[in-house]
Amino acid sequence: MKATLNNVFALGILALACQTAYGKTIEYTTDIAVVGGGSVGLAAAVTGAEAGAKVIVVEKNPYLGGSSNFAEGLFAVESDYQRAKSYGLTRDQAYEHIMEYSHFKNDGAIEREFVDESADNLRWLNKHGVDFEVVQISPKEPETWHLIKNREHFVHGAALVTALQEHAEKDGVQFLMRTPANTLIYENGKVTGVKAKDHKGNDIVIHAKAVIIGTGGFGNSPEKIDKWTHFDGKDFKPTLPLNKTGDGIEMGREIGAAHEGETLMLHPGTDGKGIIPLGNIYTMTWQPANMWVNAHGNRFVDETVAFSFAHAGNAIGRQKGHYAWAIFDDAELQHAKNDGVDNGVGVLVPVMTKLKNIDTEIKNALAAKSESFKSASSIEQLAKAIDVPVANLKHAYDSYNLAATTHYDEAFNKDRMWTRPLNHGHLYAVKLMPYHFTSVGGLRINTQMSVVNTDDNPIKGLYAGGNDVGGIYSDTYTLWASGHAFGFATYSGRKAAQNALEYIKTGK
Amino acid sequence: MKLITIAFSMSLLILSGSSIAQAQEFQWQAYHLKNGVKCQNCHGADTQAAVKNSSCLACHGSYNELAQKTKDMQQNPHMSPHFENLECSSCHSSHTQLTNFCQNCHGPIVRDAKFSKIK
Repeated sequence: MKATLNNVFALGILALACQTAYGKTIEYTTDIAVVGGGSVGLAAAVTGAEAGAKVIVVEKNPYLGGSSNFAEGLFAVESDYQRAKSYGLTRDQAYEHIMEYSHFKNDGAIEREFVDESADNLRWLNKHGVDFEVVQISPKEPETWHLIKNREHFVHGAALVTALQEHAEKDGVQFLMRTPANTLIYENGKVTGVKAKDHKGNDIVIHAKAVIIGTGGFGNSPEKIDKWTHFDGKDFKPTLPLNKTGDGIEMGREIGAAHEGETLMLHPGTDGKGIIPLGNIYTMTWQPANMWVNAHGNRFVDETVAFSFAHAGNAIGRQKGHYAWAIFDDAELQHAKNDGVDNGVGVLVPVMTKLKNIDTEIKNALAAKSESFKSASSIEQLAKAIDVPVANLKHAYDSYNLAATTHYDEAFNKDRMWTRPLNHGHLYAVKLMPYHFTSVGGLRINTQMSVVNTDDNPIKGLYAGGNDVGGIYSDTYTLWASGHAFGFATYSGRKAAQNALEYIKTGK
Repeated sequence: MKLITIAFSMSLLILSGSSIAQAQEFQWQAYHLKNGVKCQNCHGADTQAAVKNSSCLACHGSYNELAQKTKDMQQNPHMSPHFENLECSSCHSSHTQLTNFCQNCHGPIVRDAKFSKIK
């Protein structure tokens, strides 16, 4: 009897131990540890594994790919796809333009190599099952945007992510999901691994010969936006909830890495009662033929800036209260509904999409008394509805309609192609606000994707890429080189892995 | 002796009590237990270990097969155009109520209760 009781007792203790085993430490040893399973991490993992290295990827989300799942195209120049269309932009021309665009605040050497190797990057992806179609993102940008073709049921960036994921799985890459990394192991001037915590509360310690960081920036942390950029994290909102909180940048900075250029890849958008994200009303915020006014009721820009989303975000973001209104009439509404939109929201809503639900969406937004969508039968009424000075809005409106008639916009030189009179039927106003697809800028790197310290010396064993690094952009995302961020993420992931392999082999 | 009794009841509580009491509260786990699926069948020897997709799919079939079962849904969560092998437990956390991960971006997603095995 006593023996039985003792056994039960022992069993009880065992059960207690099992059930309360929080803080258990699980150790791994590998060649390369990758922090973040997005397109940087996957490109790095596949490159490493194909060269025979053992690779472990830690990913904090329950899915791989991060924002790359929702991005759509990659920058390249002198690509096979451009060659096939007899498109003649050269690497030298693109490089010069990008440097000029960035005011030489970016790293010329990194940019030069990236542009030079951008076509090769697509070839590598192509070999790994990713196919492209090159297009212009808008009339204002050159034809450098290589849209990813859908693969099976995977769309946009997910077609690229899943292609690399399948290669990585086949090559034996180990994925630790829902396991956010928190600390780099830094001993004797070298990074020798990374610590993380899984969602069960276990401590994960990965001993690695090299660590590659690609956590996608800090766009989902309003605190870090406040701290690291000049933007207000409350008013400049992320497009998607992707849990990107600057973990990789933070970990690098903690061991003395230099950092630079933290900013946001802005774009216009809207949200509010009765408004569907990326729905028909939302799509109207990207249209070039609307009239835009700020909180004073004044026009402030050539509205075709809508074609270049990063610039449009800047223009809206600098207005009082960080917002503006896009005004259109029934003729523009019918145009969007029957002829299709003049500007796509990327290819999430492709150009020429007919906004078939716009009437219903407008009805719902008005019924919900949306704070972001208003309608009126005169410009005076509309001024009241959007709470701007009537005289200013009336002046802006009359001048705009005059410009539409004379085909000359004296105020902002808007092209007559997109300057159409707004005097048909009802007037509508949708609130424009700045959002961001991702943050850019972060850890300072060299051309090897080695993270450097404040003396510009590489931190041994530590590499980073994609939107966790600085030196790639100036204050504004280079939309001219459409697809730059996605192109650079895959390129830098591969480059980081190639250099990590070399470092593991030679110690250099 | 009293100590042993306390230990004994504590053991019982820990062995059966906490997991089953929770299971009654959390219906999906109860459904597993009722059908003879024990903690270790999913977790392995260590109940603190994360449940891998392979554990779920070993019984439930592939993602493609699961997609057939939820094809009535407007946004079929087992046929995501964005993610391959999304962690099963992002929706089926088992110890808590079922959630639809897709809702984070796609807004409320509801499914007719007639499809549920739990009445």
